[in-house]
Amino acid sequence: MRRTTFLFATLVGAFLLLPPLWEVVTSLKSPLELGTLPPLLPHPPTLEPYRAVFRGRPFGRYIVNSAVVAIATTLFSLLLGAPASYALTRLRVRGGSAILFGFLGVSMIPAVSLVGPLYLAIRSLGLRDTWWGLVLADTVFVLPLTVWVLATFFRGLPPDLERAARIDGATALETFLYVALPVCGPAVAAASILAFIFAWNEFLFALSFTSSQAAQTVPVGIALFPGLHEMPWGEIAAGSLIGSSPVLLLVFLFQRRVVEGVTAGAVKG
Amino acid sequence: MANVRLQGLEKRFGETIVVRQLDLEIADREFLTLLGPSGCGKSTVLNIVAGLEPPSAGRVFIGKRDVTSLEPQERDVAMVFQSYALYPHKTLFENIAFPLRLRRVPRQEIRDRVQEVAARLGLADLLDRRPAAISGGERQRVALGRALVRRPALFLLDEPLSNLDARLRTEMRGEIKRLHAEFGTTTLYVTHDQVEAMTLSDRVAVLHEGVVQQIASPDEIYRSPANRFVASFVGTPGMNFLEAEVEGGRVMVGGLVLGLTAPRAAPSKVVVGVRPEDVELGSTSGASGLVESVESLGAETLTTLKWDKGRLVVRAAGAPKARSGETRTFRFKDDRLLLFEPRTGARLQ
Repeated sequence: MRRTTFLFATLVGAFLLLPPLWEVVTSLKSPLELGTLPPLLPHPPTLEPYRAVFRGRPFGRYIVNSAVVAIATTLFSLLLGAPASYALTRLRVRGGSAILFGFLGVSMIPAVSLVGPLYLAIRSLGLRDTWWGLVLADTVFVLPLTVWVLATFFRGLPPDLERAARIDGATALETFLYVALPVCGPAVAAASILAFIFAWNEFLFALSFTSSQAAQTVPVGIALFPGLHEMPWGEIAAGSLIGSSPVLLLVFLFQRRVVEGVTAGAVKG
Repeated sequence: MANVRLQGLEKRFGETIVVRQLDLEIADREFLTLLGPSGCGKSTVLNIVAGLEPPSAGRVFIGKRDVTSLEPQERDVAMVFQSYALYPHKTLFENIAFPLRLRRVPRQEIRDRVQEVAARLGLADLLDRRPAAISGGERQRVALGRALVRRPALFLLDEPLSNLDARLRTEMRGEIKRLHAEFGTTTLYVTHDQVEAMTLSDRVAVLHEGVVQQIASPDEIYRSPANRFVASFVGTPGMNFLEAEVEGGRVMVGGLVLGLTAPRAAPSKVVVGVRPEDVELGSTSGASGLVESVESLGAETLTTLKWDKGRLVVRAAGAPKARSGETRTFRFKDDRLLLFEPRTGARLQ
């Protein structure tokens, strides 16, 4: 039984890991080796594609754009999503659960169908080809996710904690800020990471609402790598890996924080 | 410091009436306990006094103020929860300091007051820890500390000891009693544990199905219960109840005539209540029963007798004086017998 599980896990793992591994291999090959097989592994491995990514194009600028948009989106979605989620789950809001499901429903609408109207809205706001245009669009899209992730945790908050806070003299806002939010720290971390990853990887809006390096993000930048007559696979792979590294780093750094709960000891278990 | 007055308090959830027309007055510095089985509405009363739930009808006064429509934070009450409800992300210091921080008390004063309370509760060395890193008894102390540090007008305690093990419970019971003696804060205490109610309280209010059955001193509740419910709820092991006939003022169980006179208004059938310690084994007069079981508790012995009029539990000091299977004579201490109306359960004397 255990051996079967192990075998199955290995197979699934290999299946999932193969594409990124292939990408790593590709990013270490010289242009000459790219089109030939064998050799399977680069021979010798070269870091040239990584250098080439930054040569002659504003890849650094793409990274800055991505970072600003992703961080701002994360902040806004928490700033708006956390109070909304708390109010809808813990305060007596008329039709609270209907509103929550409304959020869920809205998030089911495919992004593609919204690109057109959103483009018009962003253009009339004068936000085309700016960070804020992207932040606005991304926040709108991430918000339901943030609200729902936090709602799950807020629902599990022991009611006695809030009652104790009220008795201790806290207003609803103080209860939210000093008790509910810190106790749900892991949820906040999880929601932030999810929002960040979404905004960092987002491609459709970033492609549609930008036109220059003023706001183009890493995924859009990479999409612009292919020239008229060449397909620089090695640089695309290297760029993608550079682009993915912050997300990978975040997940590795915070996975324990996301998983572990700090509610232990709050109430008798 | 303040007295508390509940006037015509009522709480309904839809069709269900949880608290019915409750009037209660707690004197300044008094320790009053709401005692009752689970679901009797005692926690609801506490929540209404705290301001966590609005009453369906009636008013709550703390001191001279009508606080019925005030928020909890405007009522100057502190509460200890059964679950302790400590803030898991805060250190013990911050847990105790939280009510003061919300009131914008100066930093230095917060430190002094928290340390004073912590020292009083033996928590001084633990203030940097978080709730997860301390024991259940210590958590209970922190919860008490968080309430004490405020110096509130009224203390509300909701089953504060029921999550502790037996030894710790006895210890904390003593602690709560000492704290009340020391601070003298008016206290409303809710419990289903009659031992806590009897040992801690100045007065006990016994609650059953949302109605107060009796409000009296612990002693009076025990010796002179207002009705059969109070009589059976208070005391372990519980009171023995026997069906009896009344004939010309004489009360008889089977052929045995009891040494008390029934009041004139008594119906022809009544229920006699007798506490286990008010039955004496081994008397020459009286009736006899078969010893069914003998339980030695060390300082005292419980003997269960099977009599043809019902089962009797007898409590006597010292080691067992009978063995199961034996037949023993017994006698009631007649001046301690209680008479109840069989249908309503009301006391007849």
